[in-house]
Amino acid sequence: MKLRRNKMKHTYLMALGFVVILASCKKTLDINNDPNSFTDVPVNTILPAAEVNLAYALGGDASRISGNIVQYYGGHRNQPLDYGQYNITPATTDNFWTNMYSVVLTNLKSVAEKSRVEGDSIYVGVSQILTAYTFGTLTDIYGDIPFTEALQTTTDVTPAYDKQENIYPAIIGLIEKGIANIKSGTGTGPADDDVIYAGDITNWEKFANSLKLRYLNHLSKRQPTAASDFLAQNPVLITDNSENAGVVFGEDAANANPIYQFDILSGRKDNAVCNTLVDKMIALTDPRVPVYFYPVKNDNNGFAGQYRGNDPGGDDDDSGESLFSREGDAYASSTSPVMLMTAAEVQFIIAEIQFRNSNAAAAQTAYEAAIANDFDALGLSADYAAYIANAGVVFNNTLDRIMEQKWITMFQAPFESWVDWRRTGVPTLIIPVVNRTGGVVPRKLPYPQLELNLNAQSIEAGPGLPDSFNELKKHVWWDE
Amino acid sequence: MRKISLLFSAFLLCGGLVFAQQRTVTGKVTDEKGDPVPFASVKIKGSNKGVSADVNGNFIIDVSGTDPILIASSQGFSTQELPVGNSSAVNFNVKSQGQLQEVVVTALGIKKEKKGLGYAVSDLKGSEINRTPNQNLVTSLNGKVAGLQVVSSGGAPGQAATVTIRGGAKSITGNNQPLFVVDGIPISNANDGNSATVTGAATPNRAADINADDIESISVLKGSAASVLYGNRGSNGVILITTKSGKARQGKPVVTVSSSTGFDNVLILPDYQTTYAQGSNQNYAEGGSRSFGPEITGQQVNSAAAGGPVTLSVHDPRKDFLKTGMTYNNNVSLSQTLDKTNFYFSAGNFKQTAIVPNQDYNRASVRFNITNQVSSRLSVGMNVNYTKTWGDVPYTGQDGNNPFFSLFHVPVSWDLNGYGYEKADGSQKNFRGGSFDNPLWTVNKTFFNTNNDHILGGANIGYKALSWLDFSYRLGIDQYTDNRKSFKDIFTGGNPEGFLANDIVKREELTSIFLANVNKRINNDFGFTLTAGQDFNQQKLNNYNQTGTALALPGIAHMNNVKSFNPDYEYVSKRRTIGVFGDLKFDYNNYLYLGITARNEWSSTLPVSNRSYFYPGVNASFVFSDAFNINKSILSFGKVRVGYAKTARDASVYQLQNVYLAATASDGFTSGVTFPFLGLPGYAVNTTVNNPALKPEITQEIEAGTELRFLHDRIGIDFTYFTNRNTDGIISLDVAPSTGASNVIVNSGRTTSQGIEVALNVTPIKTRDFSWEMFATFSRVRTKVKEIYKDLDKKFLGGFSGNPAIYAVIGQRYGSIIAAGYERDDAGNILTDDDGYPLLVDGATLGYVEPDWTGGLRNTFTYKKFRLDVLFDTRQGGYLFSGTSELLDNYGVSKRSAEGRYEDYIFPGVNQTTGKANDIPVVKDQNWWSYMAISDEAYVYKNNWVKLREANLSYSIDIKNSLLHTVDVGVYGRNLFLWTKVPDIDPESSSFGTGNGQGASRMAYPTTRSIGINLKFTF
Repeated sequence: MKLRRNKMKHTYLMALGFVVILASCKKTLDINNDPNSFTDVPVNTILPAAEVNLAYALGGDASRISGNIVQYYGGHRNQPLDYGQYNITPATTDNFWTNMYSVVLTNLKSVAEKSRVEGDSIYVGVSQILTAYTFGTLTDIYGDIPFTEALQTTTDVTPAYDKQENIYPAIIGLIEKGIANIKSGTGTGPADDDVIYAGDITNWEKFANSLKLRYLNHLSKRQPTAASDFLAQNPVLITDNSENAGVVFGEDAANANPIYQFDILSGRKDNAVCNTLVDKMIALTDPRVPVYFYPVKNDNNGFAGQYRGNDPGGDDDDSGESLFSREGDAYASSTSPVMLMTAAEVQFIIAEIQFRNSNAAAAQTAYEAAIANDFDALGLSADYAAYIANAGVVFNNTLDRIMEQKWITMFQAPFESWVDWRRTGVPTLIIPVVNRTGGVVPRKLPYPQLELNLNAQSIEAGPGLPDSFNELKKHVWWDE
Repeated sequence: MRKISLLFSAFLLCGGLVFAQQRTVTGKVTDEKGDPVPFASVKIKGSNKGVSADVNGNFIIDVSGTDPILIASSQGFSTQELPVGNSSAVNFNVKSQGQLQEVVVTALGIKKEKKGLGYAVSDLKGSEINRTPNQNLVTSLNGKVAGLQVVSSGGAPGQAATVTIRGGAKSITGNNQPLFVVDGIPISNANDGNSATVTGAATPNRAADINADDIESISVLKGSAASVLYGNRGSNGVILITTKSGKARQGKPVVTVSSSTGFDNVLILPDYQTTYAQGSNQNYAEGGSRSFGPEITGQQVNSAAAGGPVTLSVHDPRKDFLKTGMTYNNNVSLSQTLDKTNFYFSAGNFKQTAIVPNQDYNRASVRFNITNQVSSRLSVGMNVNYTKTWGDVPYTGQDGNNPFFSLFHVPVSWDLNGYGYEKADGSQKNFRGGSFDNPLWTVNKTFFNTNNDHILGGANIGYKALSWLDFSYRLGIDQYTDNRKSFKDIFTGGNPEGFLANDIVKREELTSIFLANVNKRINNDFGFTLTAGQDFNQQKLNNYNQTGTALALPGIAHMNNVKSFNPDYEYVSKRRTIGVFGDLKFDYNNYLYLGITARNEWSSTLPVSNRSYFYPGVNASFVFSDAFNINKSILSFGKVRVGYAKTARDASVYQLQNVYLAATASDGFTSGVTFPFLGLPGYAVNTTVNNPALKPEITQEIEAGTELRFLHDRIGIDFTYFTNRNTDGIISLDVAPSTGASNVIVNSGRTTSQGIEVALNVTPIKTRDFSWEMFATFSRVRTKVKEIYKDLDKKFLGGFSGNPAIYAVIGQRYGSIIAAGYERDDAGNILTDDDGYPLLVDGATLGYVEPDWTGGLRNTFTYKKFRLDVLFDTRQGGYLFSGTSELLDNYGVSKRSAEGRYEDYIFPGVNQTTGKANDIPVVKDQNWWSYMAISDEAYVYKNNWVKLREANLSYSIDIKNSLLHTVDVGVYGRNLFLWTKVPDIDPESSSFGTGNGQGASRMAYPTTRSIGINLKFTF
């Protein structure tokens, strides 16, 4: 009996023991703070992430798809060939749309919000100007897009689609607010973290004004005097190559230019250049040919060393790199820049505006300055004099001549060139033999598959669900 | 008054007498071999009192009276009566007869009588797993357990396999695999690199590190009720592995030496055309991926690969490249039962070379298990297992160095061995460009090595405090470090400057379990057992990666040879759970049982307010054959059982706070930019929005079943019906990117699942020399996705982000193939355009992935010392997308793509504008097949197949001299035959790894057929 009682005591003591241990263990469960990430970071680490992502997206998918449409590129295989044959489906731009909204715009928004709290208006202004650039590029490509209800994550998981008609004035307004903020003098603004201008406020103002000019010029069909009226106010614009807006990439594979990464590092070899551009430039003896393109690499077909482009939508397999040229050093080496806005483009816009205003002399000055700036940026100033004298190049007071030269220069930003083609019809594009749209050059891309899967109601209530390849033929608002 | 007091004193006297003479008797019940009879019943004759012996046959009973007699009985044994006399110890020795009482290992490694269990448990003996040598014990479970489905990621040696029980759909995006437990300690089954991705390498799942020869038995606890005591990870089922303890013939050590050698060959290869050469538009051209060149008629063509003119002829690149793989499995074990100690020692080596040259996978393991009965009350035990695995494994999926991706479309006009893979300047010679390399280049100039050190260890101690109370404590660790090295030489297609990465994955799991067991008989009719305890589990992961993206010199796989580096990568995580639990079971006369279970758990991955969650369960079983004394020659055993249980699952680590991640920029085609960018640090808002109010996922399950055995156990049937409802699923919800995020973590998923599992055991013939036993399993599960989040109807599970992908779709069974389908009119006819091409629509639901039913049939024939074992298993219903067939057609190498090539073909459909039957012919040329390459619906097949999974013929020779006891020799085959209508591939392969998105196969590593011999000496 006694022995039993001792054993019972033992048992109760042990039970008590482990309850005590249990209670103190609760603290050991507070270990769920992520050691691999940060809950807060300074603004000067978020801005470069947004800027680099914007440049990478523009130089990557945005350029490849539009570049194949305006026949800078002639993809011969896989996705680039699909672009050239207008075989563009909702799934084609999932990555691009995701990068623009959930990376570029989200991080720009984070920069603005944090800077407002810290009272730095310059950062806010920079964020607003780049936000306007991003939304502007998106609406030019897709038409109606989520704008006012976008970027609210859990508060609104199905943002409505705004009409482009309303988005354009809002973007212009955003640029103006941005300019006001950067000139406000409140705060210190970015420094080296700004990979575009290293925080130079005068350049930001010039860039913002140039951007506003670009967007107002997009309205050439809808509001023909808008750009001209703004130009008449004599805004400060980008006039010299030292003021160009762009992101320069790096030597290391982890920092390399997006076109270089696609063409060389990924090993894909799917994209080539298009003979529409190559033949035109050769016909004009354009000295930019050796910097725009690499000559044909291998001699299997006897073309080594020549500059040859693919037929638009042509499917001759050139993985052996023996038929067609590829994009060259100027914009496709590891350290090449992705240009957001250049002095050359600004001058072309001015030339077009002056032409529409029947100011031939001002148009010619701007036209010649544009080409001179582009040559200067590419290190070809010495060849300018001979080029401008060429009969096919010399100013002849026609929109065709201005837009054709602009088309050649805008090789630096194919997505912008596509806007110009839609507005002016220059240059005449060769319809690819095999194409999905019945011979109609695309004027818009379909909404991405992710939006169709996850936000269909908003699309249905707004622009309407895409109708297979017919979607590519639709005109966006400023294109009517 | 006086009468009452007299009566009272008489009563007291009696009581006193009884009290005075009450004493405790201990003893043991063993059979005629000396083996213990677990849970034997020991009763006092003529009274209602009795006890149940424990798992080792030991019992303690209080007796009183002058001459108590004890009766020991147990199902399957003769009954024995023994007088107690004056002794305090009585040992019974009973004779076995008929069907033994089944003892199974249940949750927490506690052995229980199967008859008292209120939930479904399937058990397998170790010999059923290791009779046919197999590198991955998980794939050995195929076809042997009703309701358990194994999907292999491919046939490469060492490649991971996924296992799901009862449909595996409780969690929409969380882990749906069961918990693996070895000797009472949970282990990691991670494979770190192969889940839900379309690229990667064939890394193994870690449960495969266990040497199947060390396994004594496996219990599969299928439903929530069976695993409620393991909490969390056990809610998907538990696979309990018990390793050999060393119990052997008394006294002498038992030594076994076994060796097997096998030959592996590919089981299924696609059907190739042998007519058309490489090229495009009927012109011969090298450098492209397609075989739409000219017909091969012995003509001369100019070949850069051959270095001049060459006569076109037909080769067989598949045969040129693939070889026979060899499997060698050698094991040595030593076990002994001494007076108070059992120990088991084993050493084993498994070596397997692949059907692909220069690739292999190996395992070397050592195990030592020991148990010691220190005193009559105290026992201790220890298990230690060290395993080293190393191998050169293939890249998988869409990686350019998946050897099968390019091997499968090498044109028949290409002389693979003749042309070689390297040019004079060291660059690659390949039939095509782009990122898919010449398969010979892949196996000679690239590799992926894995080298893993794995320690599994546990110690346990048991103390019998009182006759009805014992305590045990168990501590276990599972720790491994996997060093992986990935190398691609300069001139590799997808990495022209070369690539080298060192990746170290370290996982460490620590478990501590404390138990108290109470085993008491309240009176003659009622008894109860109670297991109560507390456990603690901690899991840690460390991952370090160092990647070089450009090499200086060719052929040197060393970081000193790297010219440019990506920033180093580091990831660490830690999580803990604490639980308290109880399992109470009442029994009435050993035929009616009622069980109540409860567990409360605290998890570190949930916010403080939702961190604690409680889940109970109740089950009952009724052995009506014992209750109603039915004629045993007709119905030898009959039981019905029913149970309800609620379980929960916690979240993944770090899902509660919003964070900034190191910034990157990419576009899906390239590696992209990784910050620091030109020396600048960059952080970006995480595109996954976390949830600070996260709650656990809940599962509620009801199951009911019956076990019946007829005709003296010649026929047995085990039937279970279950239904479960899973709510508050933690989902990383995809949201439209215009919201600014890609994913949002919410509690929202809801799925249901119901089904039946049947196991049937029939012994049609049983004579002295010959017996024939059949074992059949059948399982039918229907899962349904009920809710994802508000209006959303789809959730991505795995695959490409465009087509094809596997989604969970509302109203459908779990796992739907979403890809490009044909556009149809209201009558179901396919619409065609004016070129005669069928129209396609994106994002079409093309079929559910889940099987309609699965089953297995095993026949075992024994004739004297011969034994023949044949196992078939089958899967019927559900769909599979074969990206392999789609690609082979696009490349023009398949037989299909050569049938009717360049002839007119009218696609059976209806013109979209006229509404009339399509009459516009298309030419079946390369444009047609390019278009077919995006017409995914054409490549969705019904996933039906039957396989001859295993066959074993063995002969056992009894020698029984002083040295050698028995010799077993046998022939085995695995994956022998496949009957299916799915073309080109073994439909059991999956391209999306071991995640939740199964149902698609795209250039996956083919499965292999193995045939071999084994030899075992028992000393």
